[in-house]
Amino acid sequence: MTGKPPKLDHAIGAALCVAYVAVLLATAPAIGLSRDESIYVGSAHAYAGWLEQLVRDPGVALTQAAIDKAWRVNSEHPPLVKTMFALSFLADRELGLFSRASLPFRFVGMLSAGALLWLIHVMGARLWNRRVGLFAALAYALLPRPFYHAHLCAFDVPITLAVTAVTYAYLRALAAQRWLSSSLIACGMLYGAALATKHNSWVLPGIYAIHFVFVLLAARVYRTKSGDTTSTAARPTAAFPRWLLAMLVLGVPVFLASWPWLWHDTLKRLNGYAAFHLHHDYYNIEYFGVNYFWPPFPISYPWVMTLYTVPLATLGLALAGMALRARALIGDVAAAIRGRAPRDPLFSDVLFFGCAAAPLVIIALPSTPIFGGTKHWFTAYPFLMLFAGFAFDQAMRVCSASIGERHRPALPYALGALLLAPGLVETIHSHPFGLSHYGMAAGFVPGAADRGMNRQFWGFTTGSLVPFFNKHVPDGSRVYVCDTTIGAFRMLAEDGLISKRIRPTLDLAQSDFALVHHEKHMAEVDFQIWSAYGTTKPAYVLSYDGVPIVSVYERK
Amino acid sequence: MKPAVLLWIALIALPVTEVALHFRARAAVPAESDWQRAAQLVRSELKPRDLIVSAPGWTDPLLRAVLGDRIGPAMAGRSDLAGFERLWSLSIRGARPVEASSRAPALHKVFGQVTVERYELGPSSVRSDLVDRIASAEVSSGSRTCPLKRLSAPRGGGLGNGVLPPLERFQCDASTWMAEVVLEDLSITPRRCVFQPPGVGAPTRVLLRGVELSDQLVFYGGLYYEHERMRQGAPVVVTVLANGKPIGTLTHRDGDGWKKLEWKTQPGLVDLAIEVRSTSRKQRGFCWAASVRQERAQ
Repeated sequence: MTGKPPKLDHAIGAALCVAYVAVLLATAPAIGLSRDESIYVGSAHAYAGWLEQLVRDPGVALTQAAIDKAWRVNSEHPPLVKTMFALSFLADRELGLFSRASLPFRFVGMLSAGALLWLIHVMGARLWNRRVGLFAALAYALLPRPFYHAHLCAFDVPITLAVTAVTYAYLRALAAQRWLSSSLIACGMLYGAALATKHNSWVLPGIYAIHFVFVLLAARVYRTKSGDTTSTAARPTAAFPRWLLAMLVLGVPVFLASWPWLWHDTLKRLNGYAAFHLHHDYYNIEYFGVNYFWPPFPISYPWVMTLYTVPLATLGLALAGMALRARALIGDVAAAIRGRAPRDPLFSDVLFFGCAAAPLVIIALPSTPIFGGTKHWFTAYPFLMLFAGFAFDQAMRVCSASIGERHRPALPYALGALLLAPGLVETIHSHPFGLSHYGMAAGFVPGAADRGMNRQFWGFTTGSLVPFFNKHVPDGSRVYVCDTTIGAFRMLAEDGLISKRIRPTLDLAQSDFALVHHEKHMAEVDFQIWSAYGTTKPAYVLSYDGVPIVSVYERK
Repeated sequence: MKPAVLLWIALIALPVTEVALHFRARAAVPAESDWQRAAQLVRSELKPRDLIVSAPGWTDPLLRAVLGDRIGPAMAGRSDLAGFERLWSLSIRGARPVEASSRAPALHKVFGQVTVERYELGPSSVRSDLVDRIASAEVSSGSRTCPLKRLSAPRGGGLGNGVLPPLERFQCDASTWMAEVVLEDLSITPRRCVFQPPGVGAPTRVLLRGVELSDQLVFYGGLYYEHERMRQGAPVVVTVLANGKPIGTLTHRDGDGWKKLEWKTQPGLVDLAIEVRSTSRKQRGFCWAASVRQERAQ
């Protein structure tokens, strides 16, 4: 982890980033705005107003009344990404950058996704080699569920980027010799940014602390056994946790400075923020035919959902990579015990195992709400993909030794393409039904329906009804939008996809058309429509691989 | 076998299998025309007392999209199969309708990826469905009579709102009404039933005059899903009286779901009353369905 990665790796990373963002921009219009996105668009508007006021009249903007008015909006989530949505919105308004109203907000998430690929590539290239980095980045890009979330103006992809970046910076900071190293400063600042992005960041110091103690203990064992007290293996990092100090001294101020809501009544509001997430509401989620709405939740949930939604070839490589790295880790531990220098004195595998496992373990706790599908453990995926990249690289070494020299240069491309093909095929096919998509282990989409797996959430699939609205819903009609928010529905019109004279409503009884998003617990809405409309016959059923996603009823 | 050979096999076999099965699964998805052609057959041969279902259960919206005009609330919200004599099933993926039990189909036809089967259920034991008679009932809540009114369309609906009040309902006061509805029960299944929340102290009462009893009265009762799922509510007690004399009591405790009781009855014309009470009205969206039946010959 010393020295800088070659410029070529940054060039490759940048190319991946640009290409991915271009794909996301091109595919975004097919995905309707989700519930949470519509909330964050509302927040971004409020914050944008305050930012303009700050420039225009800072004296007024900095009063508690002005701050509270703007920043009370969605104050249960930290501000960084929403502030970026606001800035992107303001930039678009001034410069006319985007063709659709939703894109300035979503672009931030897309850029985060692109930057994440860049980072994964650079990490893989630096830790092992370019082949690892490139395969890992492509494997991540071709995960169907993260591909869906990469389109959104939400926090899940930005926090994945933030957690990966902080972890990378932490690892580099451990190796830094000087107190005021750039990597240490980056570690602190990035941790502040992660805190200001989403609460997933709270667990990072715990993971790092376990890793740090492991590194110190291993070094101590090595020193005792070998008598070596001066080499990198003997003192791989400073005994004092500078990284933790940097997180406290730099990270916490960055977090507080980024969030005007905390500038007044700081402790009370911090408590409120923490309490919201520590005592989060439980929502409904279907899992193997059972509608879970209250703890205890099934421990198997994140593991099974990972198995069901990550392409098996990719997941198989990730598990193989973990096994190979576990073997390497055991070898390094054994070396230290025998007084031989470990190959990786910073035991980065321990850190990566922690980062890959911790998000899933947290969601597996029976008391942790499980409403968010797979997105709540996305932060594990970059590390899983790095393991996949490592396994791919090792496989190439074995395979290339078994073929003629003439064919060896083409081997990584051919086998890489073959191994990424399931991810590519499934990701393309998952669009725009990302949250409804299931892979081979689940028996694909119909197999998952047979097993009673959640089919969607957030009501974003209303976006796939645009052709129906344009063909069958007259102007002036009132459409009951079910799980879609009014704001999300209006964005379809603002994006120019449907008529602005189609009116969204939450009043089912008074509507002319009614939607039901097929999730198990939404069944009551279906039954209410039967009563209100006097029929059980939908006018249209939007389906994905033959599985109902949304039913649309028309009042006759 | 050498490790390198095994590795080659694994590296090629897994992605190739995954991609191949992906396309195979997509190819097996029924076309809309398959559903339409299957529906056409059912529609052409449909008789009164025929039940139409689909399998697997998640295809139900697709079934109703092609045959919903023949699937009323009574069929979609049935409590059991007793009211039906034949069963039509539209199925995909080799699924078998649970309603068919172990019966062999009397008819089996395939339309693309959709299979149509017909099963004979035997003569119906239902002599009259009491939910059908609700419009002619006399309804009261304690000492207050609840007249049947046609009111303006209600407002609202949506997740967590339970049943939507129909236009025509027995209105006792601003918040208490009774009517035929489709309820979401504890198993998230539709139930066509009479919505009759309990009275506290004095019961709510539905009186059906001139009911021709046979030898059996089958009674179902349950609460709206969200009222029952926390298992915290007070029990609901239902007493059924014929000419003022109790013929059966059902005590519904949270967790019971759509509970069934069967009572032997003496054939004859009676005034049948259904009284519902509890110690609390909080989240007690109780609903019942009942039918007069003649036990099938053994």
